[in-house]
Amino acid sequence: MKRAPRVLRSRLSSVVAGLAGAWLAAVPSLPAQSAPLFAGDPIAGRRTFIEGRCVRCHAIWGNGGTLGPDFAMVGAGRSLAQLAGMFWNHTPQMIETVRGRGFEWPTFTESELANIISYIYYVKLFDAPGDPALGQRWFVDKGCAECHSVGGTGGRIGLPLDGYARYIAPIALAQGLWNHGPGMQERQSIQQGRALTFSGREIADLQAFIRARSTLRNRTLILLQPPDPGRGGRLFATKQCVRCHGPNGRGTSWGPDLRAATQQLRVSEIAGRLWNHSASMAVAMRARGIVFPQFQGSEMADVIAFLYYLRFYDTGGDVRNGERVFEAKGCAACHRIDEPPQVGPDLSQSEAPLTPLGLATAMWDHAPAMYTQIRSADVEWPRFEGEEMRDLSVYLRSLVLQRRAAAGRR
Amino acid sequence: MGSTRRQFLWAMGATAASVGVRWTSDVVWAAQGSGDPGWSPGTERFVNSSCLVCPARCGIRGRVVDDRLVRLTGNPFHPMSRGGLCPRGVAGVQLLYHPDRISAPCRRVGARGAQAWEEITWDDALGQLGARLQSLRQRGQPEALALLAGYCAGSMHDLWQQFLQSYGSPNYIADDYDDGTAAVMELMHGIGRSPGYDLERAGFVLSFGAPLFEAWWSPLQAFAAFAGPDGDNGAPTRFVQVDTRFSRTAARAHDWAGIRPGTFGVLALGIAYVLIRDELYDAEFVARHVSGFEDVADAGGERREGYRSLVMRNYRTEEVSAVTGVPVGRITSLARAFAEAAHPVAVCGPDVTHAPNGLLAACAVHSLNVLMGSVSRPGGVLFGNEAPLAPLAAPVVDPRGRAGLDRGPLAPSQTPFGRGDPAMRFAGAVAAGEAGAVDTLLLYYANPLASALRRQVWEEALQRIPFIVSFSPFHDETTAHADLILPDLLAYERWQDAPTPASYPYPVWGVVRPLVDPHPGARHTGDAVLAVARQLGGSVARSLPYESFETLLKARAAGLFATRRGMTLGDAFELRHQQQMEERGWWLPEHREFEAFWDEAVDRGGWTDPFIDETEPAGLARTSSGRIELLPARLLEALATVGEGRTAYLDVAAAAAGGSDDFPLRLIPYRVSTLSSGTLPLQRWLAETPGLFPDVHWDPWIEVAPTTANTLGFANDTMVWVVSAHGRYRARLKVFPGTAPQNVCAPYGLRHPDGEPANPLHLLDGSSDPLTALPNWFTTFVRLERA
Repeated sequence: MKRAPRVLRSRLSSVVAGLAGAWLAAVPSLPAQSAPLFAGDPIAGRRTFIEGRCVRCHAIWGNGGTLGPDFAMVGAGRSLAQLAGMFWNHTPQMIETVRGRGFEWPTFTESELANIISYIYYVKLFDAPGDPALGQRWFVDKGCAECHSVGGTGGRIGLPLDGYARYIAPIALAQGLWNHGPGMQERQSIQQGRALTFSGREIADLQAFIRARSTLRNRTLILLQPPDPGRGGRLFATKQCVRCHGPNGRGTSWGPDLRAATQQLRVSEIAGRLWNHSASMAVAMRARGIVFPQFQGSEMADVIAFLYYLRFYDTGGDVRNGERVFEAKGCAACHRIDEPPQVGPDLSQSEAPLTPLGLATAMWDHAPAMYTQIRSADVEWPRFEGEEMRDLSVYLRSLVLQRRAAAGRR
Repeated sequence: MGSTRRQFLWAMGATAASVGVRWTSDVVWAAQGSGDPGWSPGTERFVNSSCLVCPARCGIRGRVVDDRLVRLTGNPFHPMSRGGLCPRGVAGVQLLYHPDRISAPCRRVGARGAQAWEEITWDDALGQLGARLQSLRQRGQPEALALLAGYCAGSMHDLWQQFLQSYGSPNYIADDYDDGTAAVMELMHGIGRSPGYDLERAGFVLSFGAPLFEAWWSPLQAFAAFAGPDGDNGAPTRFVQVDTRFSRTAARAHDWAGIRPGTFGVLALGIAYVLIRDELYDAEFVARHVSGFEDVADAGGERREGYRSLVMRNYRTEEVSAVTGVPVGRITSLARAFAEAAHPVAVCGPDVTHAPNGLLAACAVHSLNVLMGSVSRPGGVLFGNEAPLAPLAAPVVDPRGRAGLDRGPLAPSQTPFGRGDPAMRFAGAVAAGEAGAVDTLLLYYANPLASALRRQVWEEALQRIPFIVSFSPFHDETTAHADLILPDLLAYERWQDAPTPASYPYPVWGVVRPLVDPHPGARHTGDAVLAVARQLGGSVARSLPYESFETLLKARAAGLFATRRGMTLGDAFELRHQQQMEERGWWLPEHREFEAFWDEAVDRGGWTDPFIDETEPAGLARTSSGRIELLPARLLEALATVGEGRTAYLDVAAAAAGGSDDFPLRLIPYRVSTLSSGTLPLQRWLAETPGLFPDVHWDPWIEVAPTTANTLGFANDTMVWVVSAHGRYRARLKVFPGTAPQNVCAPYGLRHPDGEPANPLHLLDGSSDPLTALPNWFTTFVRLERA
């Protein structure tokens, strides 16, 4: 039965496009591009993921097929180009599996693939709930109980924390911690002689403990809507974070590169890191005359999403190294540039390399044909490691642009 | 070695099949290639909807060929039924095209019950009804309108309520099934809602007479829950059925514990005894969330025994065994297995509550969940919420209507707990009251002359009501007494909603939509009510400002769209994914516009929210103390007045009275999933699949133990009279070792092929639990006579 078409969310599209634009702009040898290179909508990606029957082989959080990897376990911490390379490396295995099961090889448009990849990346944002028993331990061990109460038990100095029971995700708690961070940390270091820090998923555990022990009745549970990294990016600027961490979070002499700091971290871990540094940040900000920022509503979630996505839209690329990859991996044997005979298309005449997603889509959709060709030639399937796919992408794009420039001159 | 009949039939079938396969591979059908003029392939559609045949409200998918419904299967998107459908649901096609459908509005032209009718137009029919109701209101007697409504949870129920309220009548009479568990939850938790059971995640299901795979709230919920090999903890889900007979559910269980009728509560407390004695209960949960467990001193300083003391003093396993017939070792092993399971849950069936001490026994059964902390926890008892529909338009009540409402219902409940049997109470009040107290009775999916325990009371009541209107699409026993029939569309032709019953803890709002064009002579009762409201005008019309029932439904669905939770129905991956998202505290908006949401909800069959916040204290108890009450003060107070000297949890075995010389055998009526709806005359082939017996199809039957049959001198298949002090009926005797001696197990809902009734409920003694007024099903004794 055919599904009624969904109205796809494009909330993130413009933001993502902006971030992708930053990627392109960072490649110094290439001209800036006016049209967005990449517009991934994770909600639309989820729909395509389901309707494209990806779940027959792949799972999210253990839900779905087991033939391929669980996408909630992979993806995070990798850039778009690395993800595309990862997909490519597993193509032979996927093709054999798909053929063996009698499935049809799924093909995607560029935007569909963008959406799917965005979705796969996005799910990692949604952290699993913490452990209330551990949370109870942290509540006592970290001294929270000396000032705050939950379910009527605990200190009276600070406000009761029962109200946070309306949330499941620890974002609201993290936001409260941040907003009161410098004051609380100062007071704690005076009264308890120590600075409170969080590691791992301790904030998530605390949140779970508050929910389990809160006596707040008839809670109107608040489910958060997906954070908006674009809005987070704007907040990053307006809250003056850019003054220390740079416009794209890559760090300055005042603050570290947040891409590295947030890589592989879950949301509650990022929140913990923010808290841990909030006291020293407050001092440094005061020294520079910057007001310590306060977050409201979904602002903290949006900023964390922005930080989270920094790595995804990793910029750069080395054209020369890309050329070396093109030769070393055997691409040039089939995709000859201006040189017959052509086994595969001359990629300098293709539209696909113009965007990283275009290239990834073309590779994906033509993978079965390439696989057949490569196998018949008894050639090993090329694999891309590290930043090789990114470099290859910028190299191929440079070929297309050079050809266009030459055509323009003629 | 000779072959059995079964082997012979199998061999014949296999031979025929192999011949058929070979033959069909060679044959060329005459029509093939001949190109019959005018022939073209049919246009096939599959449309999702919801089943309204029983309260389970499963998802259905209709196969429609050339705008004709040819098959019903389950909607795989429905989270409760998961693509399954029971035989009654499948047989809905037979109802749709049944030749006995009432084809137009009818006006009675002969004597009541004579079945003489004159077809009239819809305008005429609605005009007559509207004029009658208008006149009644103008005379200042709006309360003389009454509605007897069968199970119609959802927007039809709300529409009727709103209509009656704005009209000025407090007489909405529910004629549906009550298993009594909502009263138990109200007492112990302060939550007046039947419990939801998280069977899917349970590690051990201990069912006290609940017909999980037969005529429970939703047999498909049980089928879906036990279809997988594992519970939430990865260990196999164990299922033990405690029952008075070897039922179809018992046959599907891992284990069956036979028990004497009316002693479920005693067994539960015997298990509680072991849990407490061996310190196997969840002491932390009890200490944090439960009151009444320990002894307390009252205001006067007098010591009052708590649950622990009462159980330890009165329910030692030896005594419990003597009452229930369950061996001591079995009681102990059941208790230990229950305690050791990761997610144990005790399910309370209607056999527990339909007994002289039904309420107390049900409290005892549920106390096992409380002891193990299996409340508001995965795999335990969960109290779900209703789907967050937008409310109907604010009701408008004018002074005339207000006066009618203020005069109160004709037959208010007098029972301490629960609502009892409102339909029987109403009939009794009409039969005994002043003439004209009820001027007009509307019958909506109610057929009390077939379903009521005391048919003669209803016969008397109907005689005293001047104007009776039935909305039944078929002639039935009660419709025969109507003055006007306004035939409803069937569920496959109309818009409605279908919320799942409380037994399924997650809210599911099923959409019922037309699968085929409506019958030209019938009309949606919802649309008819809206039309009458417009005709009445004033406050009634303002209270129901909807063009059609479809627009009403759509307006209500806006609440689902706005709630920012849940999802339109989806496959297993989508459902689990949504659950995981909400467990993590997030919700992804799928639809920007309501119209897109509505279209998809209709297309997929509805909406659901697969997440319950198990940390919410209000999901555990809403009592004044904020705790679960094991010895509810209200119950103790009520026992003091109507308890005949009983105290809570004591004397729960009082039902174990014996028979007499005239009537030595105890009657055990039971529900069969395919037969209990009363539609058997319309769906005859459902009689093919009634029970455990492969060779009983068309005759009503009873089950007796081999020793009992031998003693009485009856061979298997003998036709006998089942005789009580209140009536008799004919049935075929089946010798069945799954029946305890001295019991006669009798399914109800059957008839003889010639229409002769065979309803064991009509033989009952009419007694009831004084605390709930629920009828006693197992206190009637009978004898058997050769027919």
